[in-house]
Amino acid sequence: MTTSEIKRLFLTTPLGEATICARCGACNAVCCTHRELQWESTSPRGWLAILRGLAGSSGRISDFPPELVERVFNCTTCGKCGQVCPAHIDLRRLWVELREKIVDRGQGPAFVDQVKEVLEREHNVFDFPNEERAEWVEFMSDAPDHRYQKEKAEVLYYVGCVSSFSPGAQGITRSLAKVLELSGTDFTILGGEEWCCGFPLMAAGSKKEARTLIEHNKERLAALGARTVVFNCPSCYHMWKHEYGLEGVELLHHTEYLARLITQGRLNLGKIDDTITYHDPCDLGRNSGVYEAPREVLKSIPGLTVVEMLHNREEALCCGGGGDFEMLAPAMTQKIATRLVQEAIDADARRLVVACPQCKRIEMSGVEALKSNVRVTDLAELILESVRSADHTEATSGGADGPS
Amino acid sequence: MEDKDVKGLLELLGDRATASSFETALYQSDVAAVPPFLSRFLFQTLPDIVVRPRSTEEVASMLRYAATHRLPVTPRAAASTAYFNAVPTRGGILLDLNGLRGILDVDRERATVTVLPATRWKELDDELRYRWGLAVKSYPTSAPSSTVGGWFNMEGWGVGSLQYGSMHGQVLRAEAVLAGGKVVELTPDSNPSLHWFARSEGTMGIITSLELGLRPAPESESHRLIAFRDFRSLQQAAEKIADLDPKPYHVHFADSAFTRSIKRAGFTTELPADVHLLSVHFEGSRSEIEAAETPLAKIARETSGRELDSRLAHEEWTERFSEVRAKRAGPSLLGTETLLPLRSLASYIESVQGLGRGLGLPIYTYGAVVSPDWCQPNSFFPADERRGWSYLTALSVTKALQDRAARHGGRPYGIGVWNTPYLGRVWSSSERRERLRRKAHLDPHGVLNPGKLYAAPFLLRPSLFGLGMSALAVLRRLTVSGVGERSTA
Repeated sequence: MTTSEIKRLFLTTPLGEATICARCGACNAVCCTHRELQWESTSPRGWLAILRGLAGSSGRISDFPPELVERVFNCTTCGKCGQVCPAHIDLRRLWVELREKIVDRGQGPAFVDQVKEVLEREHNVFDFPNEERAEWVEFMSDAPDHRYQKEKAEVLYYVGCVSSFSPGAQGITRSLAKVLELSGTDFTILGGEEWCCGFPLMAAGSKKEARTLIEHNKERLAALGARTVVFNCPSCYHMWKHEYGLEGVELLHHTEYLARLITQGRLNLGKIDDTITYHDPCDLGRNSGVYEAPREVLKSIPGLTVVEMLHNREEALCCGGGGDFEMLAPAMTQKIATRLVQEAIDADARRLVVACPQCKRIEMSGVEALKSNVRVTDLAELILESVRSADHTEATSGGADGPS
Repeated sequence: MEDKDVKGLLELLGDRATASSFETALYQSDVAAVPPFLSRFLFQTLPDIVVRPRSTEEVASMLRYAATHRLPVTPRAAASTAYFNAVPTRGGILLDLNGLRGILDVDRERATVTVLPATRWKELDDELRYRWGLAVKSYPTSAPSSTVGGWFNMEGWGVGSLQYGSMHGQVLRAEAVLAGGKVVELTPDSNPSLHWFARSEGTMGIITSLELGLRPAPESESHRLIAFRDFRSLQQAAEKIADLDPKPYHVHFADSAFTRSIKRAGFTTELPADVHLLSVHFEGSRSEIEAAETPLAKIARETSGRELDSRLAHEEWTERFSEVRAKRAGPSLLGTETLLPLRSLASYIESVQGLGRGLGLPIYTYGAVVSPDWCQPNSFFPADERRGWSYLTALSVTKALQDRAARHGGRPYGIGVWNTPYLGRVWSSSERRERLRRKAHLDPHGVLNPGKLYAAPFLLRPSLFGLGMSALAVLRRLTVSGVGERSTA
């Protein structure tokens, strides 16, 4: 039984877990938002103490004070608190459940209703017309005629809202699509038929409202007949894995799929002469347990020097952009990101490799805040660069036909 | 505190000060689940204001203000102790020191680090290993949460103490702010001496930085686990191992009840629950470890110990910060932390087990061998703080545990408020007089962390406390069908 399985088994009720809390403060020591806000009421231990106090002897909470509501949503749901909890409390799940209880009582912050409205209207968190989901393809000079949209395919590339609409993340989408194409993968995207995975609603304490989105996406998958779904967004991946209840369908993050393609010899990787460090996204690493696949991919790129940051794998820092936190506190999100970028700088990395569109966006803002030269690159972009480097090498060493 | 004082401080620190009761209420407790009606009946635990200084200068200005206005000041960072060491007893100013966190300087040549007081032990050690190839010599088992300044103010025994001694001996220099706001540099030879501040629980001054001696980050580590049918054999082995030269880095023991409590709490472990466990950890170069490990097999044979699988030994090491996971069987825990002569460990454990049998409580004990002569056992039993009356009466068992430790030459580990009834077991009368003299010299108005360490408050004076605890014990016998029975079910 894995630790996370034990933790799932253990969660009783938020209040029960609050009593089990040892009050040691190990969670406080690693909480990225508490590190910035610093008051005890902004810490995981503080929230549990407030819950115990509210419940009193009756064991029931009838009302959540606005101060608590504000603080419980000041959380990136990165899960680091639960990872270090010596009493093995699944704190990430607890915070999400607590948000649900708050929202159920109609006490959620205003942004929750906004998220619900936007997703109900447009089915994407950016409030753009959803039929524009695949516009990123139009920026590719060498996209195939079918624009990656087929009626049937073995693999569904589920792009996700951030990778579809955010200009800062679309480079990942284009790179991954191209890599999949070059590897000969029979894949498709859903275009305007792709709806948000539901993660923003779950993080906003409105998991029930995510049902419609989930059912739609499952129907589209069934219509395609795809047996594998590939994600480049760890939150989408996490959501599908834990909330979709799919059987007989393989769900893979792109780091895992790329590792498979490389093992199968379906990608020809060329040299990249660079020193990089890899950031484990919270929903991929700590919350889904995928640590080695991205490292295997990195190891397979010739010429690449990989250095680890002080905090890596399950101890990795949060970029600050999860759990809808960026919507609430963009300035603090950037501040949190600077700690992570600083670790990459301290590791003497010239490039910070991520595997998440949201991490990429946020960490780029951290780089900007620090006025650093560190480049932020997604693993998919790095792989495409490596494939192109191989093509270039072959072209330049191609004898009479190559340039002299 | 008067409103004008609160206003004055709010003006001084702006948004790093608050008098909001939503916030200040959270500073009324530490890791101990003391029923609020009890703690608030005895003390004014609610601070009037919480302030978060970010520099020595700000700490000094706070203490100058407090001295001028005779306001009590309670320093606090992680609050990871259990005796209200960092909880106010007279309201006043709560000095939240968490803003003073991080490494200031590393001297690789001298192998020292200068560090801010609220730096967590684990983060310090991780960073030292990562960046400088150095490591702290010892750390508390609460290292993920507890702070460097906090451990210096407490007893300072933990993981690595067997090899490197108490943390107090590893502090080379410190900076402190005295009660009147004066900033002083402390060394073993300064006046006042650095030693006055060790184990002083924040009553002598506020430590604002410390210089610690370090060791090279160990090249490798090795973990061994030996099982014993009876605790006397375990003690015998522990004594032999603690006497070895070179010594292991850390030696940990746990009685069979501890493993049972972990299993009862729902954790899966292959550790056998019918034996007592002695885990021995080595750190250093490969050759150092080899040399240190060699006598272990012989000692195990001589003491009828059985070596367990190295996987289990490694599990014991990786769980060294998670002993509290047994809390799931509670959901609360009550118990004692003590310092005990190693030669008395087995008889103490037998005595505790007898107490548990008599009361129907699954009391378990685990701890560390911290020197060739001393160990630091922790004895706990599950309880349920939500069941007010039975929880209150169960507190009487903690006194019974302390009394058993005392009968075996032990004393409480840390004092704060709740262990003041046992002060006579901690210090001789001359030691106590000397400590009081130092306190009066440095803090004549008693503003720094009042109510701790030096004297028991009226209702906790040994005679009254003893009477109260006896009454609770009787009431427990008469009324309780809950705590132990529920836990053993």
